[in-house]
Amino acid sequence: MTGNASGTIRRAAAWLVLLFLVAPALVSIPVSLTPKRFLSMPDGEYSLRHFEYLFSSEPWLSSFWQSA
Amino acid sequence: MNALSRYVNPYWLLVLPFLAVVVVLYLGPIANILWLSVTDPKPGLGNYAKVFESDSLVRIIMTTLRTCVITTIVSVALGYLVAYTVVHALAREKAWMLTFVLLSFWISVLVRTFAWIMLLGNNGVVNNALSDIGLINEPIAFMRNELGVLIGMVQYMVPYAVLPLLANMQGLDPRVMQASRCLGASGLQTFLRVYLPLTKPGIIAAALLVFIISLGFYVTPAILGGGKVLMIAEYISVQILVTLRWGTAAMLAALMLGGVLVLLAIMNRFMNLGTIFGGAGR
Repeated sequence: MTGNASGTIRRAAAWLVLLFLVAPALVSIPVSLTPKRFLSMPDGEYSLRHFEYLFSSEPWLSSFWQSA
Repeated sequence: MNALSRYVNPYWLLVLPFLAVVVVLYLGPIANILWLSVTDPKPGLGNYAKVFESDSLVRIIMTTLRTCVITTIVSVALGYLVAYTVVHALAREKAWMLTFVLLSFWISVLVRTFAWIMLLGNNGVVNNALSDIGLINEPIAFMRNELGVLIGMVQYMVPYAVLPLLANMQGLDPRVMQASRCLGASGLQTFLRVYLPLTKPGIIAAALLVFIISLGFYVTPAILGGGKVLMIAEYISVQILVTLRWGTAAMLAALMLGGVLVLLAIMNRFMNLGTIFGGAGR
């Protein structure tokens, strides 16, 4: 049942559902590169300041170890 | 001992310590909640009477039920599509699809919810994209309403619908469908009259699982609903943390628990729940 046209449409639809499950979380990658202080999409400008803060801040690092 | 073991299977003794742990650590607190719902603030059924007196409570319960029913229907439909495709896919594609299903299990509900905020907001990715290609002039309100809550909940619940359906579909004998085709039924007829009825236990298991889990949703309605879609779980937390009316909260929790148990009991009358959830048939 994989060769015919309706099968192809069904597979495409199933892949769309799977993308709907996983893809939205990927938006957190560009958001993490925003230069602004609040939750926002970076428009043209990228910055690693949030990562810098993450790896230099005592409370964040200690909670990392706590989780691990 | 001999007389005892005639009535009680001795293997129960092996399970007894674990059973005791479950009773003390699990049923104990539940009993405490039930007790609270009839004693706080004063003894009696006053808390339960509120359900009939207060319009807001009725509205919250109806919102919760409506949201959960729609979530269940959409999730099971989408899950059915995915499970069907996985079962009929070639080995390589099957592995990839299962990877995606598992992947979505690992994404925390908070990350998903904040991702949806970025995507669905008035200035979010989806609205910007739609207005960039000229489909809309003003942003569509995807968030801070029931639509947003539904999108978030469905996205969380689809994998939970896929797994029971997958287990059910993989257990089917493909020769039954071949026989139906050989005897002259079209593909659609075979699906509607043979395949669909055979997957009914899977559909019911998936629907029950999704419905019961979505009854307790807290983070998604609270954030994507923007305070406008109040569901039972959020209301309970408000009652406990803010207004300190533990009696009302306990009453709502007891109602939810009772509702779930009644649902399971009704289902159990029609089918053997043990086999649906993967136990051996009696």
